[in-house]
Amino acid sequence: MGSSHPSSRGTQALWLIASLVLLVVLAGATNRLAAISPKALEYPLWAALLGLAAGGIASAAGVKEQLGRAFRTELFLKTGLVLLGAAVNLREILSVGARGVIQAIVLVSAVFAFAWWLGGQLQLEKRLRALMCAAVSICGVSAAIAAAGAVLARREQLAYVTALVIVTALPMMVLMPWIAAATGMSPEWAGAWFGGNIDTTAAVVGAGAMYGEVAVKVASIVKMAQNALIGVVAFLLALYWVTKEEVATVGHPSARLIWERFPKFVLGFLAVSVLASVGLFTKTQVKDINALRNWAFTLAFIGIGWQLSFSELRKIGLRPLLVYLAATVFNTLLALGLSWALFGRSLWR
Amino acid sequence: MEAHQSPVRKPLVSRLGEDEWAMIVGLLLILLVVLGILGPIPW
Repeated sequence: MGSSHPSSRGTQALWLIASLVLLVVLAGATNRLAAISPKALEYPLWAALLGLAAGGIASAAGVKEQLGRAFRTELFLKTGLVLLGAAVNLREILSVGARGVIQAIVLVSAVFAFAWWLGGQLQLEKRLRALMCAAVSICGVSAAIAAAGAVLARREQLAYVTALVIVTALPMMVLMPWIAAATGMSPEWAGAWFGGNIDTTAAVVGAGAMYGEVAVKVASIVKMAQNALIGVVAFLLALYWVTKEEVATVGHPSARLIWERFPKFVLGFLAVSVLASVGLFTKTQVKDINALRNWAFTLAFIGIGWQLSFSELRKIGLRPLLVYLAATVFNTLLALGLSWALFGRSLWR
Repeated sequence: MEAHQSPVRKPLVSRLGEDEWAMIVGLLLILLVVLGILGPIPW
């Protein structure tokens, strides 16, 4: 390896082109599969499954390393998060008053604290614990990605949490509007409940759509308010990790080390969010940027599937599943009460 | 006496980490969308 012989460089370039072509083909296939499957079975799941299958075939053919050159998982994830900023519009969040912000802050803090505590009781590995807490308390996959960048989590941990998020969102998307209708919740209250509880944005919109236009609007705004906290949580996690968890290995952290470890792509997310909030982007442009984000995340999850190690996944075990489900139940009940107090009572309207 | 040699500095491009590249790529894509060069993007 490392030879600079022209034919060797030519071969490397050919492998890189083949890798890029494979990535594009898999991304296109993911897009098609996501379009024809139920809404909550989101594209990250299809992308990871296709990546896993392609990785298995390439491994059997003995060309996995050569064909995997373009699979820059972390770069795609972080680029997707920068693009996600365009979907966080502070002016839209405030269009329902301070209620959305209050609900987001209380819910995210309480659910994160509960999941962190329970994960500690069941002795979960701390990085996995951080990812799960971020995913269940904020907004599922995107928050888990940001947390993974902050605490340097392993790919298997991110794949595990992503699978949990998507599998949990599917029944919730169907059950929550049904419960809301059966109990006669107002569209505002129901929307705030869906947005505060369901972890993936697509499933939030799906649940809201089953309950009408007002519910979709409130659900999307409440979810957006939670998404806005991604940057804050990623920063606090990075700070906690450097100052508490890594002290044993790297010694007392300097400001320089904290800066080095800070997930700087979060700054990109915040900058783009500010640009969206000041109205720099038209609706069509936001739609295009959101589509680019989906493509970036698709490429990333193909890479996650490609590199997935089942032995690592098995090592994670079933305890995280218990923590995630318990935290989801806690989130559901707390969101129900909070959304009633903030959106369900007439004195707030 | 040895001549003073300043440490070899890597070019800026290779000093950039994944986070910085993600920001550059993300912002560049947004710029292309805003300028109307990229889009409509199907999804």
